[in-house]
Amino acid sequence: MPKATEPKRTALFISHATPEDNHFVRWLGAKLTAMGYEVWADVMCLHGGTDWAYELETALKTRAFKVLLVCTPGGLEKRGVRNEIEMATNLARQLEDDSFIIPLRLETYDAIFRIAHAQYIDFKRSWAAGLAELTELLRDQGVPRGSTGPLESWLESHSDGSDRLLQRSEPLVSNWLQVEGQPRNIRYIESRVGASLERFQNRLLHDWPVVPFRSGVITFAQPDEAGNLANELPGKEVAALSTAEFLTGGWEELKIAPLEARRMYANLGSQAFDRFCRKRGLTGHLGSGQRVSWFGDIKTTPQGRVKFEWPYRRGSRQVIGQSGKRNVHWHFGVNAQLRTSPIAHFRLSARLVFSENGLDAIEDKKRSHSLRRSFAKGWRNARWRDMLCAYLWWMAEGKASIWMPVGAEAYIQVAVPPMQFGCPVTITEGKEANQADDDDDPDIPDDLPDEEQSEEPDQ
Amino acid sequence: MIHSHRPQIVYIDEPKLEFRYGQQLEYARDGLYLYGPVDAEAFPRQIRYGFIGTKAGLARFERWATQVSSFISTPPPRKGAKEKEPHHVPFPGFSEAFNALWSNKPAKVIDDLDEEDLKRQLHIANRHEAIKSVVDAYVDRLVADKRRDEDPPAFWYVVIPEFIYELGRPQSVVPRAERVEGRVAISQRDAQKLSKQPNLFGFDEEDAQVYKYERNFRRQLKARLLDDHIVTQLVRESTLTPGDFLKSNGDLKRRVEDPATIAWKLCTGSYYKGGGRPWQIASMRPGVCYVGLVYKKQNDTETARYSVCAAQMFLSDGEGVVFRGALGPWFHPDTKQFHLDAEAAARLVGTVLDEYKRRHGGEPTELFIHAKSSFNDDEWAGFQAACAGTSTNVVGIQISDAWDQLKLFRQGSYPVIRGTALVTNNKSGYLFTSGFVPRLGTYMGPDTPNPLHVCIRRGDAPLETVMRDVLALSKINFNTCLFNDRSPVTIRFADAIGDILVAAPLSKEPMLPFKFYI
Repeated sequence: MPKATEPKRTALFISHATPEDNHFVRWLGAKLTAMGYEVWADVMCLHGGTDWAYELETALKTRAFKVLLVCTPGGLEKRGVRNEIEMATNLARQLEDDSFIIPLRLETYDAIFRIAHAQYIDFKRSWAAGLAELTELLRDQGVPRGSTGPLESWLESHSDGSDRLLQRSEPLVSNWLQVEGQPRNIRYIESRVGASLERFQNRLLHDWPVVPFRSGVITFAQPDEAGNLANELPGKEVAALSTAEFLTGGWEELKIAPLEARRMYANLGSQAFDRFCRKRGLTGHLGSGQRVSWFGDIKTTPQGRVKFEWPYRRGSRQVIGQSGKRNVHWHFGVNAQLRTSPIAHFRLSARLVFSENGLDAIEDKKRSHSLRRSFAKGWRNARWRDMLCAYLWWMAEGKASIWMPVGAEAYIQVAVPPMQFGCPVTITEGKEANQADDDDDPDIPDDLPDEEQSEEPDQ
Repeated sequence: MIHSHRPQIVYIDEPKLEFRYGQQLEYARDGLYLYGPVDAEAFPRQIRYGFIGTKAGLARFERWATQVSSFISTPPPRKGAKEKEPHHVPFPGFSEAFNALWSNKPAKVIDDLDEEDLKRQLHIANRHEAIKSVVDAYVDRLVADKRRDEDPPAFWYVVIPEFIYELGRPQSVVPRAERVEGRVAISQRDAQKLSKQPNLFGFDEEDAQVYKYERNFRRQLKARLLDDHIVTQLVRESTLTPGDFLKSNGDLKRRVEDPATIAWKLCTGSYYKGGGRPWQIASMRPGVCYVGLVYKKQNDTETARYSVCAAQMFLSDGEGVVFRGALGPWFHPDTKQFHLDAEAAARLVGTVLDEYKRRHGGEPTELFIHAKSSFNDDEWAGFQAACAGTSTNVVGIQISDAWDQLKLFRQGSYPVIRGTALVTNNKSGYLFTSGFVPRLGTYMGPDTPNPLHVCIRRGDAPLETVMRDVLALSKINFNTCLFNDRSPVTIRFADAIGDILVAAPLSKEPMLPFKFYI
């Protein structure tokens, strides 16, 4: 026992080899701290410098009540540990405490001269059993305990390499294109008496988006001077309503409920997008979920990087490319759905389409699925974000909006780039990924749980 | 121009979990490594488990059980990866992580399952018969032991050979040349007819029963052990000792996770199934209760409308109880949604309130009902009726997958941060429960993160509170020890539980903790 329990000597000092025994010391030190002991150990300081070494030495000299010496053959060879043993031995003499040094046997070691007489606590057989024995000893030896001390350093050291959340806002770009403008009115056009209604309601025969309704169509378009809504499709405007009213309250006169009205509007919007893409030379590919993705082929779309430079969004990416390894062409494609809530916007879903010849999509669903899975496995944030922007830049021909015709002189106008939102937090990020096109993003763990494991909770 | 409120982004702080010594941390593996489980007491908990499998399986299991009784380091850094991969946490050893007594020898061993017998049974051409007879082999032994043993183990490790995994699923195909004749002569179609017109064909009714069991080894096994209250932990031999299963070129046949990760997952599950509570949500409001609603169509029902409704009551301390609601015409083909009628809804919430009272001595102050689908007027009237006269505020929340509906891309290379939410109005928004996690230094998912759509359909509660709860409930899957799941436990286990409830005919309507189902 120490001669005089000086009040300031309250700490447990763990002497150990760094980094070899860090895992053990964190496991032990965190618990001792949580139990109310004051603990000092080299591992607590993550970014050690000269100050830390000095602080640690001072702590040993002036604060240590006991020294826990982690014993492994390699550790006891280390100069730092040897120095600490030397200091501790001198202190033990000064304090007249024979059990000032408590060896913790982590592995079998050859006892060195200074500690040869000290009785060790065995952690080799089991850390848990060792801890039980140690806590008993600490209690018996009257090591001072206070309330739980500061624990952050254990977690910090334990989770070394983690990123930090910063309370600083950053812009996030979405996949939503805000609708900036659309025709003031929506119309109900009936087919002329005597003409084929079936033809009139066949949207393939129309020049503009239409939705079949009763004996005509709902559309933004109007019949031309000759009374034709499209070639050889004579029609008569029966009623018109403000688009805004249509979307909020439906069309009472025609008994169209609000929900139905919004569905029709979404339908007109999808048609407008599809027609626009076709006109732009893109190809539609019917994928899973019965959605058409519009992609560019090697004849219509630039094959190199597409540069985009809106005021707040700049960069460059390929939107089509070739994988030599897999011997396929890949094409960035997009499907769009018009939605009214919470604000009118087109929702874009991105898909990769693959082709053998740079033109025609591979129809084999199984093969394109597995290509998608393996080829885009490493693609995360930056890649998809910039492909979307590059695609939209090319589509909008560098302008700030895309105008989709829905009638003669009538457009649905959407803003590009997609809507951005301010996020109140961000993270520290080592370096920007500015890598070659076929590289992976940097942050992909190799060991993602596979699907089958996530489906079935047992292993 | 169209005028409307522009949505806003909010960030919801990562909920913390509570561990031993009252310590609160974000990541379960940190909390267990540094401090231990929340329910730890001075005397370590004894984990008593049994083993059932083949002799070869037992040898493999014991090698693994020995491996997890001491420190397992993180895997070496991969080529091209970051120098430090903070999502990896070494496993300190079972006793070291859980303050528990772990033995590398099972308390009880059943290893008389013969590999050749099982193989032959699994190759029976009639898949229903094949899988049922293999499950029989396990169930018979486990049930017999349960009835014989006065001090049965808390749970059983069911260690399955690879061929059971491969041939024990509905989509498994046995090559024609390898099929063996079975005993059941009646076809599935005839069995269905027989159920309407008994003895029409003179077939054995017992044979026809085989079609009531699902062709899924795992689900059927769990379902058939419910009556006898037997908890299991299924694991493939190749998960325990992947090095035993090599291709001819020396590579692993099956790519599994690193040993420390597997140890975290299986051992956390074992601690939980052994009766422990590894962690709980920290600083939870008192008096909160969650219910996850599940609907599953039963295979052998005659009309498409009939389905089983199951509910899971979930408390913030991680305790969960599963109720099995009765079979009913809950599916509405016109809307493609499931809804209870008012009476069944009231009965269900009534049971939840009773159970809560029994455990806590009073009514919950808040009762959140989580469902994938919306709630209709009848259903809601039933929920409210059950809460009438109590001080319980009942809130109906729809939590649906918003796959592709909203993407948010960050400036840098890392994906959107978990906890980011786009609030569209005071009742709904998109919540990214998966995304970049600063603690892990990565995003543990495929592609770009997709949000959940969280919508307060009925009743009243602050949206941010609802979202914070959803985030917290995504962190208490005791079967994985991951940082988080994408779905809250109310919804996630909903499906798993429903799948098991319909996998075999049940004689009772058991009310059991959810460890029986996962």
